[in-house]
Amino acid sequence: MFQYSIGLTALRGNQFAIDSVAHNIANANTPGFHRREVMMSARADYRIDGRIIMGGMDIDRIRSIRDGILEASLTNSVGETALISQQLQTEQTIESLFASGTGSLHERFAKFFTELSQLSTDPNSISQRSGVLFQASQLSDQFRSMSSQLASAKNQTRVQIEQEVKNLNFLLQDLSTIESRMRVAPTGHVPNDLIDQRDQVVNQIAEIMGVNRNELVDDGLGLNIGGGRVAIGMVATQFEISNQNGELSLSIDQIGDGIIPGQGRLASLMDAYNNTFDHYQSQLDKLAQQFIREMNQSHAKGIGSAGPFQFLSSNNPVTRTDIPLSQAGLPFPVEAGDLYLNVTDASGNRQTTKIAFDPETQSLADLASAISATTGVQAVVDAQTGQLNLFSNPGYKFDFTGQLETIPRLTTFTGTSTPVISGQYSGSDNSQWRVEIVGSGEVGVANNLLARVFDASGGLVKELNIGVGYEAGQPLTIADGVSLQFNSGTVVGGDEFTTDLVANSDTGQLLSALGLNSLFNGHDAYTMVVNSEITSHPDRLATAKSIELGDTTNLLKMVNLQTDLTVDGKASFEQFLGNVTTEIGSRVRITISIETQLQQVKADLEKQRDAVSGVDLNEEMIQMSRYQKAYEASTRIFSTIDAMFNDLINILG
Amino acid sequence: MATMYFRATSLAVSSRAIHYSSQQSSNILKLQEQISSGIRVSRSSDDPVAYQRITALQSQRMTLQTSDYIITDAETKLNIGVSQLREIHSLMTSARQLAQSGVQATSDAERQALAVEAEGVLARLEQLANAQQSGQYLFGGSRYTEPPFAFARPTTPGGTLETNYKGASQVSSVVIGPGTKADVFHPGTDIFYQNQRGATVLYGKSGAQTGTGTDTLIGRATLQVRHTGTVFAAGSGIATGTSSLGGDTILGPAGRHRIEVIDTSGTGAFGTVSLNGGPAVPFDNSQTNLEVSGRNGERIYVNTTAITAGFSGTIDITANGTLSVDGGATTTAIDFSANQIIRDGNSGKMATIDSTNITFTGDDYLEFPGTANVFQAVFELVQDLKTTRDLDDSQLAETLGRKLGELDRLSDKVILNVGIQSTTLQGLEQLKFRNQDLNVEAETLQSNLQSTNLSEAIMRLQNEMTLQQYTYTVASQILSQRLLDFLQ
Repeated sequence: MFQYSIGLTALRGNQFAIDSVAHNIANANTPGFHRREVMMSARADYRIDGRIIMGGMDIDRIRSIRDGILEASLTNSVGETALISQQLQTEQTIESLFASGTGSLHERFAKFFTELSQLSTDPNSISQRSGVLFQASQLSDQFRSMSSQLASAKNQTRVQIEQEVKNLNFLLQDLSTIESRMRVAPTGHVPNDLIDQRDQVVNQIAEIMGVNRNELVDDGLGLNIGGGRVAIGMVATQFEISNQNGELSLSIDQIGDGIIPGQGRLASLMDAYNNTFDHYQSQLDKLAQQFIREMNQSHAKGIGSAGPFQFLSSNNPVTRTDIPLSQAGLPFPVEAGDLYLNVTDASGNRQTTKIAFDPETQSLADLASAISATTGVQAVVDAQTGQLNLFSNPGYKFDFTGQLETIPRLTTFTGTSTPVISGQYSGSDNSQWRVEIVGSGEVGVANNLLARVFDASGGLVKELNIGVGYEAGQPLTIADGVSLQFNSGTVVGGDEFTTDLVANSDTGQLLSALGLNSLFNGHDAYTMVVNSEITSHPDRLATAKSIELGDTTNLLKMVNLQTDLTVDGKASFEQFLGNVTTEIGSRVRITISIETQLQQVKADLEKQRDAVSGVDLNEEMIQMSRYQKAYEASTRIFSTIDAMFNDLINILG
Repeated sequence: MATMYFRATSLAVSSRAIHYSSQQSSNILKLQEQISSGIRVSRSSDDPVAYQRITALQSQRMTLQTSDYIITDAETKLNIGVSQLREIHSLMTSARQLAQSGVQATSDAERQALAVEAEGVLARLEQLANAQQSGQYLFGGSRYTEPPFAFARPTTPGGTLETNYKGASQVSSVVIGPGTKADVFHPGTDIFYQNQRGATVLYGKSGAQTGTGTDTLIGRATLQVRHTGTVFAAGSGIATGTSSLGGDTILGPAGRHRIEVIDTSGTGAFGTVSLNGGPAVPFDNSQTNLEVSGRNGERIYVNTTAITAGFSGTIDITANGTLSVDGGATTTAIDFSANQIIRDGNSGKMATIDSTNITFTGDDYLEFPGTANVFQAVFELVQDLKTTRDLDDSQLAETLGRKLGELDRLSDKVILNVGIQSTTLQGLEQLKFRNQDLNVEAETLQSNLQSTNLSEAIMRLQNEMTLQQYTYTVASQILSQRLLDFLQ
């Protein structure tokens, strides 16, 4: 009668196997499902009364088909792919901000400079001046907009980081729960579904911050993150965002120093927050700073059709007026150098005063004192606002054009003739000429009357005849575009005078640092704005070096900034912007390439995992057919035994 | 040895189908974008290097287009300027012809007729000097918003046309682009003025001569030589007459002029006086303003009421006077020296006069060759044709000859400026062509870099679509071909 029990084990076993096949088929499309395989074994024989009795079959266990190495590789790949995909999103956001085209910063730069060039056709035209200021405004708006968008994207990234950390903590909680449930599973029972669930959660965690997984014996799993520093699993570790000096990191359970994930979306997001956005923001600010500084430096050294100034106020205040300027919080650095101040009197006579300044030792108050020593001009420091205010005395006006002074310094000149300087100095360096008179008498009348011109080092530049043969009042060319004339009158031998020749009226870049007569206010992309004083008075747009309305000398200097290699001495503004655009474009391109590769690797790993763990319906159908046949055969055991019993009873009957 | 087979599951098949289908859809979308927009590179990551080049080319094209606008504007101004200068040159040629005709004219009436014609030339020249284009004056340099020239007829006799240049001495340039500019409005002084002062010419009978100093007066001036006082050497009792001051025409230090007094009455009651050996003039002791003329027409007025009784002899006369070049507004006492500086009180300009030999009063005529501007030269031509100065025929011919030379030089300067501005125009024209070439080149390059190669894109699209169809078909076939079908 023992055969019945064998048949029973066969029936039960094959039925269980069919259930397993059904489970596999049911989960054929379930992500992360590992197919099950029923592990059967024959029951051991035993003897009763010397006879060998066979035991039928047993279901040992349900095996989940998995390859631990593949699973670990896949988890790693998930983290890497998520990192790169998120990085790509960040970079594409930045790329779109730096894209050229209509309304872009590239176009704004080009339009500003072309409008500036166009102004030269009629520099006196208020509408054309307004056109330039409109383009300047558009340019600064675009700088500000890009800066805001970068800041906004960075803030959005922080929100995303917070959300990801929240999700991460939920997943860690889930993981902990699953691990706990696995630990309480009956001995000998393999909790395959929990293992699958755990794998799913692990991969979701890997997507967020990358996980290193090590397969352990007994289906155990060693998980750690942050470069192996933190183990996760049983305990529901909770992460928090910590912020140190504006740099985000993760802290665990409110303790420990910051962890920067190496993989996953969080790694990318935190890198974007801590580095990428800041990098491009700094590039944008650098461009804006250089542009503001260079443009203001040129603008400050010119004058508009309104002519020289009676009042100017610095737009960049200092923190304290009595400390060295280098420590006074100016947005742009100041170097030791000379500032040349031109003062024009009511008769149109212009004189130049050279003010040497060292920002390491002199304060704004010192500068004001030095300027106030100049005839016709007063400089007043407002200690409350930290601003420098320049006023001209009645009848005087001032500027920083570095134009030649019309009347040189006649401190040791006693003749009645008036020497007059004219022309445009074309030399490349600042200098000072000394003119010495040889012979005495009436200019243009006396014999052997000379004016000898010496340069700053004492070298003879030119010897001019101002006696007979010279027509008083006619300019005599000296050198570098400078001429000298002596009006009718007398000169006295031994008399001399000096005049400054200014190629650069502000060698220490003091004007742009203080924001005197600036075209733009602000010091970076976000704060950049067109000076409202210029906007409301377009005639103050400094196109000229002289009071002539058609003078375009300074305009040319500003237009030249379009191609001058002003950014780090290596690139023009547009080239620098183009380089940044190319850099982010290249990064996106490389990231796309890496992402494609990683996606391919991930797809390959998934394919390999599916090859091992996936459900093949054909295979399952065959298995089902096999177990069905076995089941049928098992039922035949009972009918055969039954027939055998009947035969036996019939013998007895 | 058993062979390891790769298990292909339905999930793997469908995943692959989705994976490749997505990839193909992405490619198709990109190709659709490229074909529809015609743009291959629409963002930096499409082709970073090409994108940077495209952006630079866009900026370059914008700059070139603005340059084109500025060049056209500059060309318009320069063309008008050149056209006006050509007319000025033509008018100067007419003036030159009038001067030549003046030299050959045989009568004042003929010269008067020529003068009328020359006045017409001058009037037109004065108009052209203030020519403008769209409110911008062509010959004012960088100060082109107001008329550069103001003309006024001379306020001093014998003076030249007062030409007040109110423009700038600096040329006005347009900025065509970074580092490139073109001079458009040139200062009028560079075009219409000359500065080739020659030796001053003096026509006159006073005895004044030009000094050795370098004069600064422009064009021409009248040197007024006037009498301010006569002093007789002591002894004769003769004194100055009531009309002496301003009436005497002699000038000179003591001894240059002498008067002989002969008291024929022996009591001083009557006698004769003779100036510089001229005819003896009878006098008596009642005459307070006796006119006495010398042999050269010079005259003095004397008072003979106190002639020394019995005096007969010759005494020295000292006659003082002044010089003026501004119609008497500013006078300089004659010191009979070699280099007296005579200033024009209005302009501050001066002439050096050798007054050593000044003997008589009168108006002398100063000319300052090589200093008149175009307008002054023509004005002076008009004056000469009108014979406003007391010059003889040879002097007139001489001055007209000089005027011819000046007109030639000034005309050359005008034509030189036509050349300068034409050269600028030529340069601008070449620059314009070059810009157009560069623009076309940039446009072509940009198009090559940016535009979609349609045939390639369409072929690739076709290829991707075919591949996608295959992907769907193969997936469909594989997924539908199941063992179950065979089991049924």
